[in-house]
Amino acid sequence: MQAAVRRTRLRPLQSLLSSRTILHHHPPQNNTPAFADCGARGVAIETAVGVRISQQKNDEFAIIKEKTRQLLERPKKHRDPFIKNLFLKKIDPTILEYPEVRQDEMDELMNQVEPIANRVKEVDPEKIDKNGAITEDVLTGVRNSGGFVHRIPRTHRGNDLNMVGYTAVVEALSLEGNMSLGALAYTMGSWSARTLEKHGTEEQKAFYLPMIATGEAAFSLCVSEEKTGSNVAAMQTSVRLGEDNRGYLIKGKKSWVINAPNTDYFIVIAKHQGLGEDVKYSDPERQFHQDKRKTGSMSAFIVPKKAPGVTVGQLKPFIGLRGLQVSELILDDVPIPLDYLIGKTGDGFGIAMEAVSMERHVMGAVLLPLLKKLIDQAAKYVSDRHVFNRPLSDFHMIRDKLTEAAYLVYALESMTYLTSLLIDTTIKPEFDLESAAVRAFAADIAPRVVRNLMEIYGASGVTHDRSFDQALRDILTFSDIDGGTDVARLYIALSGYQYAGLAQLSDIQKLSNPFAHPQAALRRSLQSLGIKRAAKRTVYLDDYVHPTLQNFAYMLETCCTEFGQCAEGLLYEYNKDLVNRQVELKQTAEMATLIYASFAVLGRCSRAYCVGMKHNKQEMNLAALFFYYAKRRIHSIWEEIGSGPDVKGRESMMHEAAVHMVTERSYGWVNSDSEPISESRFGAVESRAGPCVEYIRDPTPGVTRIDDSGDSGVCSESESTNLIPIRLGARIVKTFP
Amino acid sequence: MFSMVAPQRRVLYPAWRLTRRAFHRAPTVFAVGKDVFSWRPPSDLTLRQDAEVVRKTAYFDEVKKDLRDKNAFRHAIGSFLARDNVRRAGHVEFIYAALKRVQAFGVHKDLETYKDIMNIFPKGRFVAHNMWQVEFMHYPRHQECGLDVLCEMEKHGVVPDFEMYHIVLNIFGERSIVMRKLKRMNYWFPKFRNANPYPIPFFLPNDPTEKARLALERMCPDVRKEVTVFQTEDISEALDKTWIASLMCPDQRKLISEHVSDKPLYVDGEYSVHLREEFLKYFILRDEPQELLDAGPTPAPEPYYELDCRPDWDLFFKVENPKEYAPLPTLHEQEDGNILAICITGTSSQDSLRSWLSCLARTNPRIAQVPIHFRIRSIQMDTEIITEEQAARENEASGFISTKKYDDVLIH
Repeated sequence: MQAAVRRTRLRPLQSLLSSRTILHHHPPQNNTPAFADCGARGVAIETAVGVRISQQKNDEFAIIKEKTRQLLERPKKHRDPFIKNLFLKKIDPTILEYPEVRQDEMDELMNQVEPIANRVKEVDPEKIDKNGAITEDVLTGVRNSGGFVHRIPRTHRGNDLNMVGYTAVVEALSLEGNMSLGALAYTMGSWSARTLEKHGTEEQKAFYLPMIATGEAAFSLCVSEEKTGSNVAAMQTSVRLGEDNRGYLIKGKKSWVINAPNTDYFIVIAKHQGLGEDVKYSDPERQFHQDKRKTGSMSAFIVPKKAPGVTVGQLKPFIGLRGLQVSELILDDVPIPLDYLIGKTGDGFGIAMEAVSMERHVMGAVLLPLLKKLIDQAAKYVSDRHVFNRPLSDFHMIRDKLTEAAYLVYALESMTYLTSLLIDTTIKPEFDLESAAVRAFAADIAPRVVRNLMEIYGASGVTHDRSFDQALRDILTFSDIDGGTDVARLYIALSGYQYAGLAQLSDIQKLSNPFAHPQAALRRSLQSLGIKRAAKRTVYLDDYVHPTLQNFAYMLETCCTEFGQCAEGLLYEYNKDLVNRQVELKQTAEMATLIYASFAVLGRCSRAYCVGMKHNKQEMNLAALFFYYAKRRIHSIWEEIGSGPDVKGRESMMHEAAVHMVTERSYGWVNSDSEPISESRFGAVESRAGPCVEYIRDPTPGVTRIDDSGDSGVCSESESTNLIPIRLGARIVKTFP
Repeated sequence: MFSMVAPQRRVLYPAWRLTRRAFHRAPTVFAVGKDVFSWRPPSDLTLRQDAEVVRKTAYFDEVKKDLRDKNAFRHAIGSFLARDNVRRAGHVEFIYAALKRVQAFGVHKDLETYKDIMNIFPKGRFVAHNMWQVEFMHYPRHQECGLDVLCEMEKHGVVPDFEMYHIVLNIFGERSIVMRKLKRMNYWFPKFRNANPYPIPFFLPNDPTEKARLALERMCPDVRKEVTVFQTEDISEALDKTWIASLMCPDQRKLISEHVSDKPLYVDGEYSVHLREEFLKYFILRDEPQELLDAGPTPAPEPYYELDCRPDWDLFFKVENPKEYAPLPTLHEQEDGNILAICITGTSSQDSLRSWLSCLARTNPRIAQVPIHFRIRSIQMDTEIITEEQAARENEASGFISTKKYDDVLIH
């Protein structure tokens, strides 16, 4: 019988009957072996029969249900980081499958999200903005409907939500544009609860996590200080061991502490000062910790607000997200017991950086509801308002603006949830670059979307009736809340280049010394001759999407190749110096972001179209439009980076202009405060250093000309009012008829 | 093999395929008489099977009519299984009987029920173990029966899920026509489910006003449509105490306010609209088509070589009334007259329509000033038309509407 089965497998009939009939246009799913393996083959049948024989008396339906559930539980799989590998010209096409949330999981999640959403819908964001605080009743309501239970494990009275669930909860919390609420939940969840869960001791977890889950206590993370900014390592807050080595004393001042007035426990990062008793320990670990303290590394501590010496300083409200109640925290020799240390001594820097960077993409979910709400309002307005005897929606410019807003938001949404899904379905997720990409993308598009929508309203868009001023303030604040968008961009580019640089170390070393390795240099130069040729495909991305989208997937692969060329070229050209080439870093980060967004968008809409989701045609359109936008941008960056001399010219001009302004400490144009040109004549003009422009009154138009030849001329002044800006440095010549 | 894709269809097959078909089908099925070419009187076996199906139907028929629901259906299946759970003799006939009664129990749109029905098949026995069994249709009668369960689902738009896949896998295995049908359903159905650009919910609401609202909203393409539900209990003159769902858009409101008073408006009906299985009747308030006298003779189209290519458009920032932005007719201005409002009432009676008009008149005072004619006929009986004369007489009798001329029904 075995032989017969084996032979049968080759027959065409078999392929007709195989499971591909269902899965033909779906991206390949390697994580559902059940679908592929069950069949007329031995194993599955035996199980089927075996089930029947062994448990004949039980309800077969129940058995099948249980088996289905087991089979549906997709095992997590190994996935390499996506953007990092793009720097190595490796494309992971399986990301296009856009992992799905199972229906029953989805229902369960919606059961949790709905009460929160219903509660939040009643909250008025304008009121929060006006009061400058989230009122206590709102917070209690959200807390009672389970707003802060999210990620804490069930053992600590939490809900143990996965990443997607957490993202959905944060999105629900920021519904109706309540960005403060969403951002607060994000900081509580990702910055505080997650830090405690990951680095805290068992006792700490058992004590603090249930408090966060039930909403009894609020936590906030205190990292940044007024003078240090992004350079966390330069912080001034110090910690030293007390005289008797029984506790720590923390001293310093933290700024931008979120929700400080309502916080009960602060997680403070402080620098060791190495004071305290200096003992030689026999235990190497204790010795190590002491050495760490000596060298001035940082540690994280839990500081209760009730501890003596803790003062919440004055509020320093941002222009937007005013519900966050940002203020400063003054720590004046606060005594802290030894076991209030989080993690190990010297881990503080790592803890702070990880807290801020690992789950950044959830910030996208904070932004989404606001943008969607604005689009909803605009779509309604456009159909209701009539201009020139037509509804506003008939005009192509309006449609263009509305669509652009929609496809950007669609991309942001796809990216945010894709990142969450990837983290959920991977064994050891390393998607910090993807997180940063979502964060950077969100900050990029949000002002653009709002601007587009404002233009639709015309003059009424800039009145206070529409909530655009608050939206804009919130969005601009949002861009700087967790270290800034530029930091996210640099994070992407620098981590990516480091990864690629380490992987290609030997190649780069060879190429940087061409005389020792002429063969490699020659090969490289021959390769670079062919750089403009049509990109060779390697992974055939178009096989992973619905045939309708083949063209886009094909172009996307070209975009990836272009990105790979840029990354490789820059790495070979600047290698170690690349860390200082911030413009190139920013450009590559943007390319990587857009490529990741395109993958998210194409994967999502392909899935929606295959499965036949509601409004899938709309998704296809938005995805295509976004892809055109991304492709245009990627290609232009590729051209800019690829054409060497051109970019150098531009770059040197940029540097010159910036340096000029810095040396002048102003805008740098000479205006009314300079000496009048009529007195100085052209001599004075020539003597001035650097490029600047002077307004000259021109008596008769067409007579004055700028002469580069260096001949001396005359410049006269009369009553005529023609003002022409003239770049000084060129000679000004007046000719008389 | 090809005939198995859609077993209910009757197709004329070429001779060569017919021979193959004869091989591929079990002799019993062949004799059932579905085939055009080879019709023969039903055999004794078939007759016995049919009789058995009728007998098995008793499991369902013994349930009282007012108790027929999902639970009762499951209970009937349970009592069949309880009788002989090991061999399950006669399960094919029982399944056919169950399929005959799904609609009577109101479970024809319920996936769980179809899973229960499919689960009646014993597991493991019908799985093909080698290529010959696969090729020559292992247990044909049972496979046909499994197909019929899927076809019944298909008929009612129920999409099988992953659990159904595992049930079928355990019964017929991967290589069977039932599995192939299931996979094809699973591939295509979700695609069709949202293909309708004017979607109706899969389960209609029970509230008749909500149904009426859905039907009205589907009929009107204007994005600014507003459906209002009136209760005639508020109106003292109304005889029928019922509800009225009325749809009106801002453009229609404007058209009514601009209507000249000497021309009448008409209430036309009743027309039919279907909402899944539901059949609703609706009425239209409209006016006479505009006479096209002033349009003049239709201008001959310009020959292509004389096409005007000059960009002679009016710049809207220089010309006061640019011709490019001349007012366009609204959606409601059709060739056969302007459609001013549509409604569905609870009773579809003329009295309820009068109530409708008086409700509309609250927000559109013009309606009260304009003569309104009723042109109403019943759909079921096309021949019987309620004449205007008759209507006028009725109106006079009710005292609600007073009229002098018998063809004009005025509403004050």
